[in-house]
Amino acid sequence: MSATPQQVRQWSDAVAADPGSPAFRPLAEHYRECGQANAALRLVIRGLERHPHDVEAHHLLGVLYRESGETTKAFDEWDIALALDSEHFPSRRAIGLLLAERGEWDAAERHLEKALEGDFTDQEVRGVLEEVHARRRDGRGRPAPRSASAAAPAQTPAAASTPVHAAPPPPAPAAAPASAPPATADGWEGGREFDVLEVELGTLGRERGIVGAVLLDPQGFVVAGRMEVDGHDRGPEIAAVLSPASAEAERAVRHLKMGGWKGILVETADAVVRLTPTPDGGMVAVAGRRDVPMGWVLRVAARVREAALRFLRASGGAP
Amino acid sequence: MSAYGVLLDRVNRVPGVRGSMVVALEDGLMVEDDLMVGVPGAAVAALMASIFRRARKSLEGADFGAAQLVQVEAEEGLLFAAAPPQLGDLLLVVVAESWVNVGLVRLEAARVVEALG
Repeated sequence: MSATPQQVRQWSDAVAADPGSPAFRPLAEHYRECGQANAALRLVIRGLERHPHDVEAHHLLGVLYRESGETTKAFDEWDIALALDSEHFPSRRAIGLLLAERGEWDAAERHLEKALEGDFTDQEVRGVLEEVHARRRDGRGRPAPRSASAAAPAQTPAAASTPVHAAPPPPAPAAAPASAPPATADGWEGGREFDVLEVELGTLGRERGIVGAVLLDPQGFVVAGRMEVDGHDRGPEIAAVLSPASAEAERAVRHLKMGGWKGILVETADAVVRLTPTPDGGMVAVAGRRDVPMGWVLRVAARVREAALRFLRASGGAP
Repeated sequence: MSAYGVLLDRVNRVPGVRGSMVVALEDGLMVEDDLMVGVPGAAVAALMASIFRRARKSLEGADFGAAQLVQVEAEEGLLFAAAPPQLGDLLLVVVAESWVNVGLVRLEAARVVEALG
């Protein structure tokens, strides 16, 4: 329901008097509904500086990013919303639909099934979930051409308070760069290279002490590989959050005039994660356990990168 | 010299280190620094804290545990951020040349941090 002029005035006054006022969210939603996306974006970002744990605000920011075509940032915001509240179904639904659009069938299925728990009557989620099941039966995880209905601008999921009426179509997956062979009715013609990469990453991911290896596209989506922790593929989550770290790393080394970034190494008490850039703007991520020497993990990571480069060259994604 | 100053001084003795800082993890502000002239400490502090927070969030979300160390490698240098428990919510950030002996930096940092605890 549209806000009344009186409500808008009250919200505006409240935000003007105190930028930390919780009125920023309904005001931003109002701006969004009026087509003033930039104003809405500024309001939510500023509001989140004061209310970093506002789940609905993170969700709304995700919707705004999604509508402006910034799917990686949208994913990031919905992911934060879920980290704050794992039962936030609108964000769960949004991430599930986004993953389905990108052909991340396993992860999409996981999110959409949970989203359906929040609303069993959600026909759009049901429809996409059926397609996800069909895709998984047809070929596990291979980037495939989207059906006409799925490729059409999908209605971005949102909370009841943040309905979305028209979202732009997502950008094309990096796994099928502009110079790559076109999709056919039978499937993507670069499938052979993809299959080779999947096998290579699978083999390297099973090396001693290695948790998994994935190739990410420039937007932070998994192109190939898996990273399993306790039986769950964590690749998409790691990719979505760590991918922007490469941009930050690039900024940091540029500030210091250190040339291009060559890699990031992150250590926890249990694991080591190695990220290295690929020429198409994406990167490879390899995780290993701490009970194997770090040099071994780095060596496997170098081999994973070589496999990724072979794939990118063969599919036209790298010189 | 403060306890942090002693820590930075010892880390800076490793050949190839261009400076080091103690940085607040949450806001990326420098708490103490000992940097060579020309190293833009404030910017590096903010960026490394941001990268560290992102890494921590990502790996915790994936059940890999909390990030303890982040190392960013560039063609002509290396950035290193560690969050030892002894420093609480502070990071030790080191700026070094690409040829630095990373193992030595880590060893020296670990020794001094241990002494702080």
